[in-house]
Amino acid sequence: MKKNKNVIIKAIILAAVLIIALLSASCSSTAYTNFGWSGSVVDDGTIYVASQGKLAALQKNNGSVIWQREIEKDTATSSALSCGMSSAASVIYANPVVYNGVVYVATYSGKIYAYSTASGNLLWKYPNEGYVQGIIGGLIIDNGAMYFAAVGGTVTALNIETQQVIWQYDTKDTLWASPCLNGDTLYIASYDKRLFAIDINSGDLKWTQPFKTNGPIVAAPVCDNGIVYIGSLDRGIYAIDSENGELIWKFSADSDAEYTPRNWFWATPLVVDGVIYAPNMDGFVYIVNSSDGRLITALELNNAVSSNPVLFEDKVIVSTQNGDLYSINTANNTKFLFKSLDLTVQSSLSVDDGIIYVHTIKAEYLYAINGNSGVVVWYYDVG
Amino acid sequence: MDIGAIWDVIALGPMINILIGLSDILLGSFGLTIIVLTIIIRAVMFPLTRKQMNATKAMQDLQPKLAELQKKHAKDSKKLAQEQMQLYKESGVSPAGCLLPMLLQMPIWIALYQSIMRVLAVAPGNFLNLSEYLYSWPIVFKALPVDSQFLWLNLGSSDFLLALLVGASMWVTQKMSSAPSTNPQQKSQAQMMTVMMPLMFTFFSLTFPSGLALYWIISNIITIVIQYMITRSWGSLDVPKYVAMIKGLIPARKNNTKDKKLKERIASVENGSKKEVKALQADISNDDVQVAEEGTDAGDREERQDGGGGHKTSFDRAKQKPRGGRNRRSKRR
Repeated sequence: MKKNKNVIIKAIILAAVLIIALLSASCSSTAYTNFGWSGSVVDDGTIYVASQGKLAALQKNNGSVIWQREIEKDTATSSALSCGMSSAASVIYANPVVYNGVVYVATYSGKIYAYSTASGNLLWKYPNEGYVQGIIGGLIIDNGAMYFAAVGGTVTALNIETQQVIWQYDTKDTLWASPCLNGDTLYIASYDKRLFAIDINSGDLKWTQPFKTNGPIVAAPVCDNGIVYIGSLDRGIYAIDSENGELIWKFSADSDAEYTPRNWFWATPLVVDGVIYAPNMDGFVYIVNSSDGRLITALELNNAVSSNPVLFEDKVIVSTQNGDLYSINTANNTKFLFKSLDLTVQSSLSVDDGIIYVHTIKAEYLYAINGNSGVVVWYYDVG
Repeated sequence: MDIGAIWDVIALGPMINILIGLSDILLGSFGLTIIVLTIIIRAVMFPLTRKQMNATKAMQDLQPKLAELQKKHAKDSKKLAQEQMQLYKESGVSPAGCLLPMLLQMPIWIALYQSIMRVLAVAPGNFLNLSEYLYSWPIVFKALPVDSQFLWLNLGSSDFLLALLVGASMWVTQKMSSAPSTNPQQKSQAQMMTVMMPLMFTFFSLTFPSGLALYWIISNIITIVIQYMITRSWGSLDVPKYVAMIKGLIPARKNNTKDKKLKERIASVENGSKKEVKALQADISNDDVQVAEEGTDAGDREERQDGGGGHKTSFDRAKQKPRGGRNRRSKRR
C-alpha cells in the first residue's frame, strides 16, 4: 500500500513536471508570440504609446509621464491564444490614434477605448459589453467617423460621437492590415489575398470584384496619386488602379531584375516622390519606380524588416527586427546605419520634430532618437 | 551558431517547409497534410519503432526474473546490479534498447509539433516569426496561409471532442503496451501510466490547437496498428487472450492444487468476464508470492509471467529455452 502511494506520488510529480515543461516551452518560446507591436503617435507636445495592457502619455521633450492607464484585462481570447490564461493583459497591435482631444486604442481581443488626451480619463469603449472580432490593423478617423477592420472579416464605420454603427461590410476574409482612406474610398487588404475598395458613404463595394494577389496581405495599402500600392506575402508589390481595381504593374520574385525579393513584404511600403521604398523580410529594401514597377536598386540591411518605415526630412528611416536603424538618402538611395538598439523592433516608427520614436518589444522601451545624430535623447521603460 | 539555430536549420526549417509544400499538393487541406505527414514520418521511423517495441517486450519478459533477483538480493544492491547485468547479458537484452529508439524519434516528434504550432500561427507574432524558416520555394509562398478548417475543426483552436479522442486513443495504446503483471508494484505503475498519460494528453489537447491533437490521434492510431502488427496481441485489452493466458499459465497449478474451490473457479473462468479473469489472476498472483517467499521455482514463475504478458511467442520461448546453469526444479513439488 505504501509502495503504491509512492508510485502515485511519483507519477503525479512526473506528470506535473511534464505539463509545466511543455506549457512553459510553448509559451516562452516563439510558439506563442503574442506581444503586440503597437507603435506611438505624437500630438501637441505629447507622445502616446500603447503596450501590453497599458496606454501612456509622455512629454515628448523628456519622456516624463503625464498620465498612464491600465487597459482592462482581456477575457475574450481563448486559452490557446492566451497560453492557458483565461484573463490576460490586453495585447495591442494597432497604433494609437489621436483625434480632437481623444486618444483611441484598439485591442487584439476586440475592444476600442477612447481616453481624454488631457486627463487620461476613459470616455467610452466599444462595444460596451463583449468584443468585436479582434483588431490588428489600425484605426482610421475622418469627419467624425471611425473605420476599422476586425480580424473576423467585418469592416465597420462607427460614429465616434454616439458610438453607433454607421455601416458594416463583411468581407468574409481574415483582416490584419490597417485600412487606407483615400477620398471617399476605404481600401482594405485581407489575409486571404484580396484587396477591397469600399465606398464610405454607403458601405458598398466600389469595384466589381476585389483585387486578388497570390499571398496574404498584412501591410496597409498605400494610396498615392490615384494608385493603390500593396505589398504581399507572395513576395510581390502591386500597383492597382484605385478607380477600377485593375493591375497596373507588379514587382515580384519572378521579375526580371538584378535583385528580386526572397521573402514577405510585411511592412507597409513608403512612397516618396514617385519612388517606392519597400522593406522585405529577406533583409533588403527594394526601391522601385512607382510609375512602372522597375527596380531602381535594393539595399541590404542584413536583417528582416517588419516595422513600417517613416520619412524624416529627405531620408527614409528603416528599422530592422534586431534594432538597427538605417537612414536611406532619397536623393541617391544610399544607406547609413545611424543607431543599433540591439532590441527587437516590429512596431511602426514615428517621427516628429527631428526625433525618431522607436517602440521595442519583448523588452518594452520607447526610444526617442535624434534623427540626424542617432543620439538617444531619452527612453522610457514601457513595460 | 547556438544549438537553437542548429535545430532550426536541420530540423524545424525542413519540417515547416515540407508541411507547407505538402499542404499545397494536398489541395490546401492542412488537416490532411498533418495526417499524411504523420503517416510518412511514422513509416520512415518504423524500423526504430519496431526495435523499441521488441526491446520493450523482451524487457517485459525478463521482469519475473528481475523481480526474483530483487527479492533475492534485496539487501545487497551491488550484488543485485551484478546479477541484473548478468541476466541482461545472458538474455541478449539491452535496457537501452527500449529507450534509444524512442530517444532517436523524439527530435522528429518535437520538430513536427513545433512546425504545426508555427504554421498554424495562432498569434500574429507567431506567423511573423514563420518567415525566418521559409525556403525560397515558390510553392511555399503560394500555399500560405494554410487552411485551418478541417472537417468540423478549426485547427488553430482547441476542440473538446478531439481532446477526448486523444485521451481515448492514448488509453488504448497504454493498455496495449502495458503487460498485465503479477507484480503488484509493476501493476500499479502500469495502471498509473494507463490513467495519467491519457489524462495529461487530454489536458494538452484542450490547451493547444486541435491541429496538434489531430497529430496525436493519428500517431496513436499508428502506434496501435504497429503494436498489433509486432505483438499480434491487444495486450491487456484482449479478453480471450486473458482466458488463454490463465489456461496456459496455470495447468500445473490447477493439477497440483488441492483447493477444490480454486479448481472450480479456474474452470469457470473460461466463459467468465474480464473482471473475473483479472480477479482470479490477482488471487493466483498473491498465492504465488506467498509460495515464492517460501522458496520459488524460477521455471514455473517464468511460464506464468510470460503468459501474463499476453504474448504467446514469449510464453513459448520461455518454455523452449530454459536457462542453463540454474536450478529449474520446483521446490514446491
